[in-house]
Amino acid sequence: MTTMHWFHRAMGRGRRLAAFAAAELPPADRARVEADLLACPACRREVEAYRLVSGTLRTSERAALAPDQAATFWSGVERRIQRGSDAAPTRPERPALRELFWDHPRLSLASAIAAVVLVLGLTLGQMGVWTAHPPAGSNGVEVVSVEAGQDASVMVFQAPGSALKVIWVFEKPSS
Amino acid sequence: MRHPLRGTWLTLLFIPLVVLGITPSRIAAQATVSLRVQVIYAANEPGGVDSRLGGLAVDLQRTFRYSMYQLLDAPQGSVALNQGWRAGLPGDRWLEIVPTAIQAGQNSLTVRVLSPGGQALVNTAVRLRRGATVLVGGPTHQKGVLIIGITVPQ
Repeated sequence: MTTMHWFHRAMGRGRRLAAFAAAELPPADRARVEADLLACPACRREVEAYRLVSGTLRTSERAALAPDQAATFWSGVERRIQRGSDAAPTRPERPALRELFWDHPRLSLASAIAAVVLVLGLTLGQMGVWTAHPPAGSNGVEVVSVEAGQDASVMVFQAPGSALKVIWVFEKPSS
Repeated sequence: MRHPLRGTWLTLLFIPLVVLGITPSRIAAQATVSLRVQVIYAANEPGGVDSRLGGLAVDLQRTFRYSMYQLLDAPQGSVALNQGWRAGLPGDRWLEIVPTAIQAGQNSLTVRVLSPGGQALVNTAVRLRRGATVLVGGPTHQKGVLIIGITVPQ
């Protein structure tokens, strides 16, 4: 095909050529197409092809129906269409979950990995792995709370130069 | 036709179910804490420092001014989380330890010293790193006091 022909097709002239071949163009457009055809052999071949097809269709025998057949023809067609639509399996508008995952292994893989990461994260989170805890003092001991009984008082201390933390109970002398 | 990746992703889908089966509560229920306790009698008496105290002796001497430190007992045990562990102390007293959590290498313990009547002389919550020792002292014993060293061994 020539460059000119491709240009014509790109410009949407294929439809105009078909209309030209069918003698459906107004005179002004027809003259313009005729001018184009002089410069475009491929366009001429295309017009010839359109004419050939159009001529074949026009010369084909038409199916003729008897009046009683014509009366029942369309109602029969409609009936069959209706039966077909009733019998045809309905497809859901959205793909089923199974279809979504089964037919798309990459999606399933990503979902599975995401699920594993989520569950592991939650599990480790509940185990306190992600929770920040204050360090338990330089000697590894942190006294969180301390309370003395009724018959005692208590003191927490760490002697200078010692690594030990001491919880000291002072017992009240028994009466 | 069977998709080549079908087995793989089925396996991966199965993993969360397995992980879900091992819930944190089950892990926590199976966790145990080892405890080592040293019951020391400290007094201003002749006797010196008990050699069985090992490295603790130096720290005791730096912390207190007693002349004698004698190891009376060294009970050890292993206890599950939120379960009580008891050791007898002189004078019909008891030491009760309940591990409450193990988080980030630290052991949370509730420590109580119980009087003969069952009342708590002291009730404390501590967090101990493995290998660290906390001392609970002061209950009278003979002419001195009791000092209880509590360690979570490494």
